[in-house]
Amino acid sequence: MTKLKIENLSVDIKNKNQKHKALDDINIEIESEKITALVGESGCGKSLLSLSIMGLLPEAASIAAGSIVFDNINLLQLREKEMDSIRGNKISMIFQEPMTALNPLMKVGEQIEEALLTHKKTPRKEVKEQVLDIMNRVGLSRVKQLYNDFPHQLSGGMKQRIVIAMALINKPELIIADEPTTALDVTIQYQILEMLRKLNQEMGSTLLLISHDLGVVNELCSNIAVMYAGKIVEEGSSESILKTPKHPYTQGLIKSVPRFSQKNQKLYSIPGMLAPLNKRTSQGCAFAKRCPDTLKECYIKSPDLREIDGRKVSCLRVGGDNE
Amino acid sequence: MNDIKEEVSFIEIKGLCKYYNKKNNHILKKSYLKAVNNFDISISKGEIFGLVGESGCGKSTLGKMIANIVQPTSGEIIFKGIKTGLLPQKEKQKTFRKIQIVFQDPYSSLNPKKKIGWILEEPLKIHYKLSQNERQKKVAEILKIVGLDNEYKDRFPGELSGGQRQRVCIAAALMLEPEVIIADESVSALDVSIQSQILNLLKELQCSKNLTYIFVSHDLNVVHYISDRIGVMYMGHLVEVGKAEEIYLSPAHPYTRALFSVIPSIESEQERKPVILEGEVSSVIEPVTGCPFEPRCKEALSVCKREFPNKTEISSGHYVFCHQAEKSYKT
Repeated sequence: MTKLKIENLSVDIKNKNQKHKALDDINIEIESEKITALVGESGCGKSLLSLSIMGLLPEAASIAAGSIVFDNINLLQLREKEMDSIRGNKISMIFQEPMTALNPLMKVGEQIEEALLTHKKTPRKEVKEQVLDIMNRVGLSRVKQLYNDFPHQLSGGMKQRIVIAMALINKPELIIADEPTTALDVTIQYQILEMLRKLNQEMGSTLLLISHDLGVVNELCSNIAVMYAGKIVEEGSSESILKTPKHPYTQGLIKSVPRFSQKNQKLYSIPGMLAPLNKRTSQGCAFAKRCPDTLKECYIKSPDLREIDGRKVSCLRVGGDNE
Repeated sequence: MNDIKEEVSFIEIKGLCKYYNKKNNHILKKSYLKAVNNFDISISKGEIFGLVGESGCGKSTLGKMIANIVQPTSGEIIFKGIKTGLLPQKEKQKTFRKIQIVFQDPYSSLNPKKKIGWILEEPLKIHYKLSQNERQKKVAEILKIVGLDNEYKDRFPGELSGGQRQRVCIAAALMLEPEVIIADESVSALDVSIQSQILNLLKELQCSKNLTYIFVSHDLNVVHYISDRIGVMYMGHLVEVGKAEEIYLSPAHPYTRALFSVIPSIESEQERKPVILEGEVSSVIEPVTGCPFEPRCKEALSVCKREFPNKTEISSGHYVFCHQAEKSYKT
């Protein structure tokens, strides 16, 4: 079953009176109760996509075309008030930096409480109970004492748990986690990932994980979508993508991770860099300039996302006669 | 004779400590934050020494002390046989220009209002008397080494990408022809594709200039990839040190085992049993008499609480600070 369906989504960013296409014709289906990962370099539009789903796009960005359908509702057609009732309630987001996502002047317990009271009328007595319960569930101990603590009194891992508790208190159907563990140590990272996995199984919520750490993605996700320059270039099950990547960009990305067996060997690196927004052209494949293996057509024709062997790839060389 | 001695201990660190005063309500009672506590290590020339540990364990403080940015409370840093603590200020500056540091965040470590050329020339102005021409020649030379075109010297940091900025940071460290580079989380903020470029560059430089690195990171895959030896720190103490493969494959200290069991990897074939550490790092301020890891250790004995463990050599060059080192290594 599909929980979230994004169709032909394009987002423009305005800069010095010029419009640039930051997201270009995105098509993606996120399956219900599964963990899907969105992978790509910084600047490729991963975060912009998640903000589009949340309806939190910055002022300079605007949606040019497409639809985001969640439970048969097109989120883009909703009025601000209607969106408010979904955001934080049915769809919630875990932000990257727990240090900046929390209000420094408010007790952490009250911040979780606020998320609950905004959406659900709850009797005063039950509020605290529910907050303490969710704090327990995200693996915090001494919750009664923690309830009255301010963010600066907590460690990074604890703050991230509070942010996650805030996102989970309304039992959302879809959780978007934007690099939830990037700022954390490996030991805490593991605990947080395990917790997300457990919550996904217990609560049956759908999770969209945005990450650039392929190791994390491999541990947690069942599906992967790879983004490059505002487009989805490859999508499929995580096993098929990590083991037999088809798109040259995915191949390069996976090859550049240092592995145990690769010690003392030169690492692969993708030549060149992601073109900045104002220098991207719509002609040809966006990856062509960095691609190790191009055809003449690659510079002229832009490839579509086509289904090949149970996954989707957008590359002229894959699946066609040229392979 | 001299050469052999240099090989053995290029940098020798003996009993290095850094305590920070902690603000306290009691006037008579002073408390310290022990960021680095009694740290011993010797690093040989051309070696890449990886330093890992959780945030707050003191790995950055150690790096900064070696680069002479932070003054140690006690202990010695012996660089090429010279006790740096005893040197007069001018001599010290001269010695420490051979040790340079590359910081974590390439976005905040470059002055946004200065051109790359100016940033790179500045260390030369401070340390050497060179003409403008000579300086520019040097800038061009170093830019070429880090793989940037000479025209970049007229750009501002804001015009560069993350990977290019980190190259500039490395170039700035190379300007004074250092013998040691301390890379403090130098690739952590970068994307995988750029990270591999910078790692390759660091390795190339090590070969071509015979540089010694102290590579501080919390990404264990990266540390294993680049390092010859790895040191593991916990709460300011060195708890284990040894060859990279050995630490990665057969860690002996319970903390190292826990740390290396939870690395997310894209090679999931290898079966691993994750060891989950309960609790958080205890406060560094409270005085600890026994093993610092004891409160979180599942195998702790009563002796662990009382005494600080001795250094045990379990195989050649592989040292562990644990009361049960021998036992745990075998299992």
